[in-house]
Amino acid sequence: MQIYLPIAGLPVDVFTVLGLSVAVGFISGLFGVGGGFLMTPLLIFLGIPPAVAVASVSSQIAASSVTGALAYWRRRAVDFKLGTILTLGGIVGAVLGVVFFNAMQRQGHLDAVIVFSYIALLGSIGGLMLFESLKAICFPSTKTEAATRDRHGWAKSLPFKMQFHHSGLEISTIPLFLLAVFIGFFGALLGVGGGFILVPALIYIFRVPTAVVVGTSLVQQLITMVIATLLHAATNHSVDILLSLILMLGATFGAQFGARAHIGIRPEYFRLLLGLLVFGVALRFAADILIPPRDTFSATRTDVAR
Amino acid sequence: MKAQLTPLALALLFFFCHAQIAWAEKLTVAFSSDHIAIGSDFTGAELTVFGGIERAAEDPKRNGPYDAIMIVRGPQGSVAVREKKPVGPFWLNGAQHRFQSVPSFLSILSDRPVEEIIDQKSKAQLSASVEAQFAAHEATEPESGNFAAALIRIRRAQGLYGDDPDAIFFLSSTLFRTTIRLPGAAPLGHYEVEVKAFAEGEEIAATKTDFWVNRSGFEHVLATAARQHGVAYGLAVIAMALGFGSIASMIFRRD
Repeated sequence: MQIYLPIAGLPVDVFTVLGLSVAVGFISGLFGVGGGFLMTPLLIFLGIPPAVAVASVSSQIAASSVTGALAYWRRRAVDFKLGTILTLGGIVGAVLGVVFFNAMQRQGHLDAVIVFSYIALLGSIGGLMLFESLKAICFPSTKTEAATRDRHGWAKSLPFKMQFHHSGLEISTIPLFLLAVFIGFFGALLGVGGGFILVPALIYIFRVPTAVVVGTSLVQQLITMVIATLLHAATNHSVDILLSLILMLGATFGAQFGARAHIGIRPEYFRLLLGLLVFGVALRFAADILIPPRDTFSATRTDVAR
Repeated sequence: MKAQLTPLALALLFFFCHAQIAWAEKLTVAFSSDHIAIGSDFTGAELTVFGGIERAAEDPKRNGPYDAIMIVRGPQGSVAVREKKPVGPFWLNGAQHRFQSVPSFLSILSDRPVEEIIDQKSKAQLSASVEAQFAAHEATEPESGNFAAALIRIRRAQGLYGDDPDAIFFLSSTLFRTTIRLPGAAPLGHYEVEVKAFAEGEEIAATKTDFWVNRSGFEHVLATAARQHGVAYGLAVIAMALGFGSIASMIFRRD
């Protein structure tokens, strides 16, 4: 069944998009990630204008984060003080991200910037995940725990230290804030929640207890994506409410099934799969610019969209 | 505005003088609808057009059959055509050409190949081919040729540009019918339709008409809200997201 998307300005097959969002939701529930890094690229590959895909997925990530954040909040698994610092950074990052997004859109470079950023961001994160998990699989004796234990020393030695009672930590707010700015920036620019960066960063770099990491990162993701959606809607008018609705429907339900599904494999294989997934999306984008195009020409309307 | 009016006035003058001298027959066309509304189920539209050539008793006798050519132009818009070039291992956008004002939709319909109806010279004058519509660009900017060809090729593939020499059917010697096909991604706006009737290779009558392609009620409200009330629209989307997330959370609550 075809449905016409009023902002994207083209008809799409509802069941294709719904099926896609259920699948991405399932994967995100399974791996405990937001799934934006899969959803936005898949929509772009479907032919939806990148600006519309990014802006609309932001709202869907907000919806998915509410469900997750509420579940963790009920279990008291959220460090609100840490969440506040991360959220403030995320908001600053989202504002910068949308400003950059609009500037690139005006100059006609937005599509290229999105593709390159995806390759760089997902390529490096996916590559790191693959490397780390393969190392853990091939050399099980080398404990990554012991190696990283001392590394957070620098986060303690910086100024503006703060006590995070819930997490039992005392670390500088500067690197935390900068990390959140970075994630907010790319989140708003690329339509990704950034959980797949924030969660490992909090665990491995800042030594935040695993029990509160996911809940806290979901709170940060929720507020950052709410701000990003509002800014996209207010400045570049690219949020397609019908597309958002379909994505929310599919992804929230898909995520519930994903969260209930268990795959009985060891955590390092689990991380290997996630790494493959992230790296795979980067490769798919890279293929677009590495493989000689069938038609070297492309045409883009430069007046008001449609 | 004034500069545009002068050629228009000249054209009108020419139209009436010409009509008195040689144009005997009268051409009338009617649409199945002069307004196409794009709703949520829009995947393209077909617009049926009927045309009639009226003959009066004193009109000259024609030896051959009548022919008709119809040119449909969508709203004019600017477009950037970019060419990808290899840079090291990557294929990146290199040179680009901006066309400031080209039709976003262009369809040339006729009852048989245009070359058979009129000679090549008149065909070029009439711009009765997609390529001819870009001839003016090529004349002023010779380097635009490749880009114009690429734009035409791309838009043909999208169903936005096209010519169909079998699209007009003559129901009788003076009555014809045709269908304008708009793709799902049809641009919004004002479409101009130019219809010309021919006999023995000579233009004997012409008329112009138009139609609109707009979003229908609901889609229009959404699109206008998104554009003019961005903040309120954004807040509505956020409310929807929060509501959705909370409802899902209640339904799937596990503890």
